[in-house]
Amino acid sequence: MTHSASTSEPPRSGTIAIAPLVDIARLKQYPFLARCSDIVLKKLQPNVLEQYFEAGQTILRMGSYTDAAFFVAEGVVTVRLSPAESRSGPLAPPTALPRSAPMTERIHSILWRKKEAAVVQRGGITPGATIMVGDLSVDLRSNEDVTLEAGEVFGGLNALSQYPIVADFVAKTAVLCLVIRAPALRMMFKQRELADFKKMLDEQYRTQTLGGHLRSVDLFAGLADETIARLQATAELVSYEPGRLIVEEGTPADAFYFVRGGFVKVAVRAGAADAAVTYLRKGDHAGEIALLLDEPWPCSLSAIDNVELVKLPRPQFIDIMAQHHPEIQELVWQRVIDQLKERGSVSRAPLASRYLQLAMDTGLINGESVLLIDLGTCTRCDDCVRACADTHGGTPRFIREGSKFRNWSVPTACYQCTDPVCMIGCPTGAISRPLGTTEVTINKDTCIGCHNCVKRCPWGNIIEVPFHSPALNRDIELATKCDLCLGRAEGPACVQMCPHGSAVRISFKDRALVTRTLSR
Amino acid sequence: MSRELASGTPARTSRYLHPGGGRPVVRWALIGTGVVVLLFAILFAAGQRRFITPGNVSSAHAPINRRCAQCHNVGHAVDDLRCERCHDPAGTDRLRQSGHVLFGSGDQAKADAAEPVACILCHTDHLGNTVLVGRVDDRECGHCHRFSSLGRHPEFAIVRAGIATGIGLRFNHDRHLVEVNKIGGRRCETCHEPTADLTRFEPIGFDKHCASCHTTEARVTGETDPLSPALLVAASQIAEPWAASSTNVPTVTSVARGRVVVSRMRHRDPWVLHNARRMRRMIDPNGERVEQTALRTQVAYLEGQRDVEPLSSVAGADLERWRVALEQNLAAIDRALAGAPGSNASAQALRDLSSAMSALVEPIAAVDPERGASIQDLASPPSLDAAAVPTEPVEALRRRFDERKTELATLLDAIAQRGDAQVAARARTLRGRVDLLQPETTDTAADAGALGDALQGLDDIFRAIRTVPDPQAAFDAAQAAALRDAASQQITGGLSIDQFEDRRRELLEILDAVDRRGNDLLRGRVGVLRQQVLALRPGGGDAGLWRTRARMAKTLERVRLEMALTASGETAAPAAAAPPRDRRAIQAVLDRLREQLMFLSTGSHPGVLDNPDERGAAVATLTGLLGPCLKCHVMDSARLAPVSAAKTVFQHATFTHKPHVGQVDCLTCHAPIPASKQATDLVVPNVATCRQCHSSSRARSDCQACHTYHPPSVAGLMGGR
Amino acid sequence: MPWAVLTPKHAGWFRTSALLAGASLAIFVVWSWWTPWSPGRAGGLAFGTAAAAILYLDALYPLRRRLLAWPLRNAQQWLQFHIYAGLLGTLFVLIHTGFSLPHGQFGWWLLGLTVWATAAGLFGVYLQKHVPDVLAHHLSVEAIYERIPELSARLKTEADQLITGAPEVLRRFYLTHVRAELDHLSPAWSYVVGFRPQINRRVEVFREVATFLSPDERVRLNGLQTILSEKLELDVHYSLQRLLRQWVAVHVIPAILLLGLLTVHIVSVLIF
Repeated sequence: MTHSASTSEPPRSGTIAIAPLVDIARLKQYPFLARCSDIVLKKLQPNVLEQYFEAGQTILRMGSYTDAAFFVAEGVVTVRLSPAESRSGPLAPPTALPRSAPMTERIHSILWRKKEAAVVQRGGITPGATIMVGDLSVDLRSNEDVTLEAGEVFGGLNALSQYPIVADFVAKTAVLCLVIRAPALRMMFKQRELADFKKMLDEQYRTQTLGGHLRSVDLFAGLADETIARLQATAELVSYEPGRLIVEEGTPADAFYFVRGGFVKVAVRAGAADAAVTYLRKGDHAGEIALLLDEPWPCSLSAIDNVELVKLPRPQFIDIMAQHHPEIQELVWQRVIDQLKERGSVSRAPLASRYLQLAMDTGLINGESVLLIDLGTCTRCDDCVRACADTHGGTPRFIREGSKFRNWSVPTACYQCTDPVCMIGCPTGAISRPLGTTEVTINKDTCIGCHNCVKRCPWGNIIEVPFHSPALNRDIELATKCDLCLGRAEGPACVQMCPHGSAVRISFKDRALVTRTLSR
Repeated sequence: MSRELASGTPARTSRYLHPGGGRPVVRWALIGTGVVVLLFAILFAAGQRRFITPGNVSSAHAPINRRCAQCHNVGHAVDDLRCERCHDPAGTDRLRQSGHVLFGSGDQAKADAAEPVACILCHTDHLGNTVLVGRVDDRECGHCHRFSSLGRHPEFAIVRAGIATGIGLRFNHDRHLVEVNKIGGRRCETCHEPTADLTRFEPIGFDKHCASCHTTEARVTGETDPLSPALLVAASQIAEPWAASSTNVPTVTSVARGRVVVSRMRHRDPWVLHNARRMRRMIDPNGERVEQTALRTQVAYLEGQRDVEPLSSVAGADLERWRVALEQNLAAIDRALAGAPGSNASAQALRDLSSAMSALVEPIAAVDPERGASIQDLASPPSLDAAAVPTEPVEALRRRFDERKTELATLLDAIAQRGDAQVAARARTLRGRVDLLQPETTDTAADAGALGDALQGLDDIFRAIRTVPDPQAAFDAAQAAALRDAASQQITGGLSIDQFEDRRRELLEILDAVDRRGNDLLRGRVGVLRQQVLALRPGGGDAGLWRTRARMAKTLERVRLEMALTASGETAAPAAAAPPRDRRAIQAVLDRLREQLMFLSTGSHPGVLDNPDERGAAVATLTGLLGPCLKCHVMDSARLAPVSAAKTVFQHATFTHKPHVGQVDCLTCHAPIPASKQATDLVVPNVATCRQCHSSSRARSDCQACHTYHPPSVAGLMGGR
Repeated sequence: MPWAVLTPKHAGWFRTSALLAGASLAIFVVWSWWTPWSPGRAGGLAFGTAAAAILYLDALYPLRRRLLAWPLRNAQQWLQFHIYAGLLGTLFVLIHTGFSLPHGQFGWWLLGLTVWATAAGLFGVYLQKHVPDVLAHHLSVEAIYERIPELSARLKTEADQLITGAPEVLRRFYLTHVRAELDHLSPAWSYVVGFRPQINRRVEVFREVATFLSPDERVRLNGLQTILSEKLELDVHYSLQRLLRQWVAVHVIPAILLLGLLTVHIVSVLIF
C-alpha cells in the first residue's frame, strides 16, 4: 500500500518498488482535479500515485486498514465478502492445546511450565464493539459479488477514520487506481479548489452509506424505506475541525446530529468552565430530545478532533417524529430520563466529570479496553506482569508504570484504541485487528521489526523486545503489545491474576462505568 | 525553570521490566525444609527417637522411655500383646475386655462374646512423666455403663436385694452392743479391730472376739438336745491324733431312752466335725463333691498363678522349641475339631505331653536310671489309652441329667424362699423352665450330643441365675457350674477334673524332681514343659476345645512376639510374673484351701442313705448334734454354712475404711446397726449415703475411686492390693 | 494504626468461614464434653486430618497460576481461600490438640510454627491493606520498586542542573541541606509508622531561605523543594515496598518448615 523497501517475499497487495510521481498533466486528467491550480497539485503530488493491479489481484483485504482512498480510474473491482468461516475470528495458533485435551496432557501442562497458554477459540463480535459498515452500499451478501466501476472511490472513509476494511477488494479486470493518501485527502477537504473531490465523496457517502447509518440509529430503525430515502436525500453533511464549537448551550435546538466520524465533546457550563458530561463517537447522535421537547440545547457540543456529522434539520425531524410518534415514543422518553440522570449526576458531583475531561485530554477515551490499576489496593507484587509473561512466552506485554490519576494508575499497556493509529504504515500487515474484535494483535511471525507502530503509538504502548524471527531467520527487535490475551478462555491474565482485584480493564466507551470506576 | 509536580511516575521506561524472577524465598524454604526432613529421616534410621517422640512417657514406663518396640508394633498400632507381655505375663487375659466382663458378670459366654477393646483406647501415654496412665476418664466407663458419675449410679446390688445373705451366722447387733456397753468396751472396735494400716478390719475370730463370752473353760456354752447315738462314732473308733486324748473330745452323756447328750464341745470341735462330715456323706454326697471340685479348681488356678514364669526368662532355643510344640498342638486341636464331636482333647493333650516326656527319658536315664524308669512308666501309661476314658452308658447319662435337674430345682427353690419378692419371682419362672426340660433321647438311641444340648439349655438357665442380684445365689450357681463342667466332661467323654488334676500333679512332681537334679541342659526344657503343663485346662466338649485352642493360639502369639523382640534386641525385663508379695498372698490362700480340701478328702465314707426314713433319722441326728453350733451358725443342706462376712458386700468394687474411719463415726454409714437384730439385716449404706460426701466438690466421686476396670491382681483377689 | 482497613472485602468467604469455625467449635465443645478428647482418637484425628489437608492445600498457593479451577478461578479467589482456609486450618490444629499445651519438644515445634505462620499471615493481611492505602493516598509519586534507585539518581541530576547559575546563598543552601539528602536512597523503618512529619520537617528549611531570595530565584527554590520532597517520597515508597517484599520471607519460611515437620508428624504417627 505504501512505498516499501525491497522485501524478500512478494508484497501483500500490489505494491511496486518505487513509484514515480504522477505528472501534473496526468493529474489534471482526473475530473475532480481538473480545476485545481498547479501549485495545489504540486502539493498533492507526493501523496498520490497511480497503481496498476492485474486481474485477480487483491487490492484491499478484509480486516486490514488502509491510509489511502482508491479512485478507480479504469477497470472493474469486485467487492467480495470472505467466506463465513474467516469471519468467526482468528484461529488459535497451532501450538496451543484445545480445551478438550486429555487430562494427562493438561496435568502435564500444569506441572511442567508451558510457555504458551492453553488457547481456546474465541471470536465473534464483542458486545459494544462499533461495527461501522464501510463506505459501500450495505447489501453485501456472502455469495454475491458487488462490482465497482470506473469513477468510484473506496477506502476513503476508512483512511480518514480508521475503520477496518469490511470486504475483499479484488481487481476483476486489470485496474488502474489513483491512490490518494490521507494527507492529500485532508488537503482536498480543506482546499476550496479541491472541493469537488469532497463533493464526490459526500455524494458517494450519501447514496451508498448514509442509509445504513441512519438505520443504525435506534430511533429510525423501524422506519420505512422511502422515509429513509427521503432523509438520505435531504440530510446535510458537515465537517468540523478540532476544537470548533458545533452547538452552543442555550441556543434553540435546530437540528438532529449524527456523528459520522471523530469525537464530539458534550459539556455543560459549570461555573467558569465547561464540565464535560460525556462524549459522542461514531454512531452516536444528539438533539432528538431537545427537538421533541422544543427546548434549547441543554449542553454544548464541540469537536475534539476532525469530526464529520450528518445533520438533519428540524422540520424534517419533526415531520418524521410526527408520522411515527407512537413507535418511538417510549424510546425517546427513556432517553430523556437517562440524559437527565447523567446531567444531574454531573451537577451534583462536578468532580466526576473531571475524569472524563482527563480521559478526553489524554486520549484515553479512544480506548476500548484500558488497563487500570487501583493503587489503593495494589501491593506492587508484580503478579500481573508475571502472569502476562507466563502467557506470552516469558516476556510481559506491559509495563507497570504509567500516569497516575489520584489513586489510579494507567500502566503502559495497549488501550486497544477504537482508531488504532499504530496500524497505519505497517509494511507487512503484521499488526491487525480481526473483524468484530476489540484486540489489536501483532503477528510475531510476520513482524520484521521496522518499529513504525512503536513510533506511531502516542502513548508508547508498543515495546520492542529482542527476538529471533524464524521467518526471517535473524535476530530482530520484535514489536510487542498487549493483545488482551486473545484466545485465552478466562480473559486477560493480568486481571485474573491480581490477588487483590486491583487490575481492571474497562472500556472508555461506557462513560458511566468510567466515572463509577475512577471515583472508586 | 519551574518544575511541576508530577502526577504519577516521574519518568517512564521504554523497556519491559521483568519482575524479580519468581519467588526465591519459596525455593529456598523448600530446600531448607527438605534438608530438615532428611535430617529427621537420618536420625530416625540411626535409632534416635528423641526428636519425634510426642512427649515423655509416664514415669512408671520410664525404663522403656526410648525403647519404642516395647509398646509399639512399628508399622502398626500399639499392640495389646505388648502391654500384656509385662502386665499379664501369665497370659490370663485378665486385662482384656473379656476379663472385665467375666469379672463383672461371672458369665463366661458373655465374656467370650464381648467386643475386644484395645488398651490404648483408655490408657494414653506420652503425656509427660507426671501423668498416671492408669487414670481413666469416667466417660470411658460411661460408654457401656450408661452412667459416668456417682450421681447417676444405680443402687448397690446388695441394697437392692434388701437382705444380707451368705453370712452364715446368726447375730444380733443390738443385743451385743448392749452387752459390750455393759462390760465397758469400745463399742464397735471391741470386735471390729482395724488392721495396722487402717484399710480393713481384722477378721472376726471366735477365739479372739467371741470366746470370752460364749465359752466356759474354752467350751462352747450349751449342750445338745438328746440324740440317737446310732449314727455317731465314738472317739475311740476314730483313728486320728486328736482322738487319743479325752480332753479333746466333748462329753457324751447318756440320758433316758437310749439317747445321749453331747456337751462341753469346743469351737470347731474335731469330734463334732468328724461326725458331721460322716453324716453329711450319708445325706448329701453330691454336695461334698461339689465343694471338693470347686476347691480343687481354685487350688489349680492359684497354683498356676503362683508358679508361672515370665516368657522373657526363657532362653531363645527353648522358645523356639516351645513355638514348634505349640504349633503342633494347635494343629492337633484343629484336627480334633474337624473330627467327631466330643473327642477327647484333654487326653490327646496329655498324650502329646507324654510323647514330649518320652523324649526326655533318654537323657534323664543316662543321668539317673531310676528316675528315668519312672518317667518311662508315666510317659506311656495304659491309663491314658482309650480304655481310661469312661464312656458312660446311656442310663448313667440320664441319671446324671436327672441329678443335675434336681439340683437346679432345689437351688431355685432355696432362692425363692429367701424372701426377696423380685428374686423369688424370677426364681419361680426359672423353676418352671427347669421342670419343662427333658432329655430328648429314647432308650435305644443314646445320643450323647443331644444330652449335651440339653445341658446347654441348663447352662442358659445358669446364666440367668447369675444375673439375679442375690449373692448367695451367685455363689451357689458358681458351685453348680463347676459341677456342670464336670458333668459335661463326663458326658462328652473327657476326663473329669479329678482325673485331670491328678495327672497334672504327677507331671509337675516329676518335672520338679528333674529340675532339682540341677542339670543345666534340662533346666530350660523343664521350664518350658512346666509352662505347658500349667497352661493345660481340662477340656470338655467342643466348647472347651475352642477355648483351649484360643488360649493356645494366644500363647503362640506371645511366644512369637517374644522371639521377634529378642531378635531385634528390644527386650526389657518386665516385672516379675508374680512378685513376691503376690506369691506370699497366693501361698497363704493355697494353704487355707488345701486345708479345707484335706478335711473334705479324709475320713470314712459310709454309704449313701437312700431310704427316706434313714435319711430323716440322719438329718435329725445331725441337726441335733449341731445344736449348740446352731445358736450362731446356720445350717445349709447337711452342713454348716460357710461363714463369709465380708464377701457379700462390694462384689465389684474396692473399698478401704481408712479415709472414712478418720472422718466419720461408724454409725454415720452403718446406721441400722444399733437396731439390727438379725444377721440378715442390711447394715451397709446405700448410694445416697455415699453421695453425701462423695460429690464433686468434697470427695472423690469418679469411677476409679471405687471401681477398677480390670479384675484386681491376684494379690488383690486375696485381699491385698 | 487504622483498623478500618480490616473490613472483609469478600463477604461471602468471610461468612462461610465464620460459619464453619463456629460449627467446628460447637462440635468440639459437645464432643469433648461427651468423651475425653485425644488427638489420636476419632474426633481429634478427624480435625487433625482436616487441618493437614487444609495446610497442604494452602501451600499450593504459589502454584495458583497453573491450578485454576472452579471455584478458584482467579487469583483473588485463591488468596481468599488461602487466608480463610489458613485460619480455619489453624483453628482445626488447636481443636486437634484439644486446646492443650504440647507434651514434647516436637509438639512445641509444630505448634510454634503454626502460630508463627498464622500470625505472620494475619500481619501480612493487615500490611497489604494498609501499605497500598498509604502509598496511594498519602504520597503523590508512584514508582516501581526496581526503578527507584535509578529515579532517585535522576532527581539528583535534575537538581544539579537546576542549581546551575543560582546565587551564592542558594548554592550554599543547596550544598548543605539538600545535596546530602539526594545523594543516596535512605529508606527507614520508621516510615512504616508515619512519614509526613519527617518530610515536612526536612522541607521546612526552605521557607527560611526564601526570605533571602528574589522572586525569580524563589521559583528555582520551589523547584528544588519539589525535587527534595519527591526524593523523600521515593524513600518512603522504597521502605514500604521493601517491607512488603520482606514480609513474604517472614511468612513463607515458617509455613514451609511447618509443612515439612507436619509430614514427619504424619509419617511417624502412621508408623507408630
